[in-house]
Amino acid sequence: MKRLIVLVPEGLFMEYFVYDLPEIRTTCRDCHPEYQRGGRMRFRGSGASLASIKGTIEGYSPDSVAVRVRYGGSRFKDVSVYDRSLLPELEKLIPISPLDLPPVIKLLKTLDRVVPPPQILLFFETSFFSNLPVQERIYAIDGILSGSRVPQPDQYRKFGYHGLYHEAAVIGIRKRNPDVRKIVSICLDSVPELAAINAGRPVMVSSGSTPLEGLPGDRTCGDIDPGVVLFLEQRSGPEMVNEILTRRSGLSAMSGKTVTLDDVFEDEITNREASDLFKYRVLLECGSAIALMGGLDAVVFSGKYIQSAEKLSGWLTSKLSGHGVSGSRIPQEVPDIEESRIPVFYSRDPLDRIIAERCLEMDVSAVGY
Amino acid sequence: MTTKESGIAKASSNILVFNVGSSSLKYKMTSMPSGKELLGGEVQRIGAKTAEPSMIIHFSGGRKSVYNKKISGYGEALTEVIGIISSEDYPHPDFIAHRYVHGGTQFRSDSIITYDDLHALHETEEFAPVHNPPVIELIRRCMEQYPDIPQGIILDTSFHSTIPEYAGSYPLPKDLTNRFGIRKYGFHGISHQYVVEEAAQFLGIPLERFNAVSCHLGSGGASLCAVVGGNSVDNSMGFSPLQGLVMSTRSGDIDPSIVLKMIVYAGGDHSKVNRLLNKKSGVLGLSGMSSDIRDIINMSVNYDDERAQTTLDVYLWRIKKYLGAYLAAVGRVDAILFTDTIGESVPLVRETVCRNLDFFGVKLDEWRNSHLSGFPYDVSVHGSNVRIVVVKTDEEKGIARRAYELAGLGGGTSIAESDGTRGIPEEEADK
Repeated sequence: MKRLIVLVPEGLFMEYFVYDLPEIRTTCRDCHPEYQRGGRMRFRGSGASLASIKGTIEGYSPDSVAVRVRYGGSRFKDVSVYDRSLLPELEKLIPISPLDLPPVIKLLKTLDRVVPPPQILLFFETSFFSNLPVQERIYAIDGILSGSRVPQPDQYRKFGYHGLYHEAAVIGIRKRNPDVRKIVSICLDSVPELAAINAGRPVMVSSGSTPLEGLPGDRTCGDIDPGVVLFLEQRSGPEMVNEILTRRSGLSAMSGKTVTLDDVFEDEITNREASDLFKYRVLLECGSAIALMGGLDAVVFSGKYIQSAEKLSGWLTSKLSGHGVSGSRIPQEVPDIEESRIPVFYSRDPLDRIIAERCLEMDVSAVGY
Repeated sequence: MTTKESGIAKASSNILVFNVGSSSLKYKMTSMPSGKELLGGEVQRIGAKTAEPSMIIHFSGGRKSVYNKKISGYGEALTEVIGIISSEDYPHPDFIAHRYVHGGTQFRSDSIITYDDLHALHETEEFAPVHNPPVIELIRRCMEQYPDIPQGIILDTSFHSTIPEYAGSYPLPKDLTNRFGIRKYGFHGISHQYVVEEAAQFLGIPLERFNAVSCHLGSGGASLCAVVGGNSVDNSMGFSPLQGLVMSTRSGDIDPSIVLKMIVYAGGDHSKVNRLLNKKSGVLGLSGMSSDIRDIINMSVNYDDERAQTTLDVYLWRIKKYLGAYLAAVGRVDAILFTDTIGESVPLVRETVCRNLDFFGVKLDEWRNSHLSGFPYDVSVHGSNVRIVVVKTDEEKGIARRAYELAGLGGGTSIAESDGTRGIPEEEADK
């Protein structure tokens, strides 16, 4: 038996989940609010909260600790075993991910002092998208402002930010259905994301250089005209515009009150504007994905708002089935109703379990020692 | 001054239309209401960094003349055009109409413009920083050149007024969207509307039942339009012409946070970023060599230039993304339409973006696609559920029709006469 703790930093808090591998057992998400096998800790605070985290982890004496990291740039293309030599490389990425990386770096420095020292694994959300096709990942700008500080190359390229969900969902489908190649993967989260994945390789993702681009989130704007950003910035300044786009927009702005994606689909009548806009944006992204993959074999939903997927999937497949073709496998035929139904899968595993299963597959004891 | 006062609402009027593109100036004089074309032409590659020099192509009486000349700005282009028009024995215009990309919150519909309105026009520059300033310059020059001839602006956004809320709204705080009129306006409406009508007629489908995706691919600007029942239901451009496809010098879609980062890197110099995104990005920004995708295709195909190939790939990829998006949004699609300089004349673009769209019932005939004979021309294979039609756009004809309506109404309101919203009231403009 190997004891694993999965750490998922999320905003001001960090959730932790304890696994005794090879058993993948129910974790705190299902036990909430008791957190029988894990818990929730204050994270962003310095000193005391980090000491508390250290104490909690030492209390479990884990063999390994797996940390979910949102951003790893082009440098971190896979799961990485942490050692101190990685710190300078992570610190170099802070200008691109100024909100997420500093607390993670503090956390890693804290984990360095845990006794006895566990193996530390870093799971980057961006790794899955590190090899996006060049035509998808770059923007049509030259990237250099004369007379200004030249930004890093990664500053102006696209990444996905839910790579762990997408990868697990697609692997899950293809294990059972190896013929399924062209998949639209939709992660329903507070900042949702849609990806086109062809034969296991992502070819398109709705998020961009940051999670702000793409589908609108609970409070994030998603795709908007760059001209709108310039227009607002001229009136309010960059800090205020950043606040507007990242905290005061999205589904909540459409509904006129703070809502989540689940709230919107729970009561579509009250939140009709938000619901209509979100569904339409998903349909557009799906159409793009199908065009770029040259067809569609399946749709898969994942993410913490998975309960909204059923309402969304019914609407979505009815729209896509309107084309009368089930996908690239039978392009010239008009199949009957049953044949034309596009398979929809639901990947209900929470993020900690996805990471735990990855650790199990990797045989964590064999990594890094 | 109203059009009735100006005396132009007579039985037959010569409408001189100016249509400023990102790097071109088209002009055409049409006798209305017959629609007879009296003269026309285009100044190409104005001030653009391209491999070939500027040129003027002029048509009149079935004759075509070509003038090669270095032309660095729209004022210079107008001087050349006036020189050509005046040097021949052409009739004088009764009305001058300008395509106007974005009237902002000041101009909501087609309007007569006088000297008094120029200040208000300048206030709309930020809504379309590439297009609006040269048009204003052109209007001013025309006022100097033709002081007695009334002028008007014909808006490019009217066709998109049917875009539904869920497609036209940005999920931003409503106090801001309401206060500043922030929503998707859409552009190239004159062209999209024209080619949709032409294609519906060509295919024998009643306009009210005609569903399509219209691809206006110009040498400067470009946009796709989703059409249901002959009406626009979405357009890849948005609040400004900056959103959407990769264009000659415009970036098209980018992560909103990048814009903010750029402003910070530019030391808060907003205009620098504005200029960068509108005039130094897109095909020019990616390739570093030319803003004209035809140059890039040439460099890629004939010289195997890697950067040109990447530029071309990004350009085509973005068109395909929007095409797929709008095919999905429209549902039952009768046709994909290609128009304007690139859409009409570059088979590679049509072939690449229509490839592997079997899911949507789209099948392009490669031979027909590379052997067009006239317009409109169907380049889809026999049996393709979705027709693919190349349609020659004629924005100037569309503008002339609307300008004649504007003049004929006689109620085109100048700002000097209006203390509120400029332009004809929407209910009148709808007539």
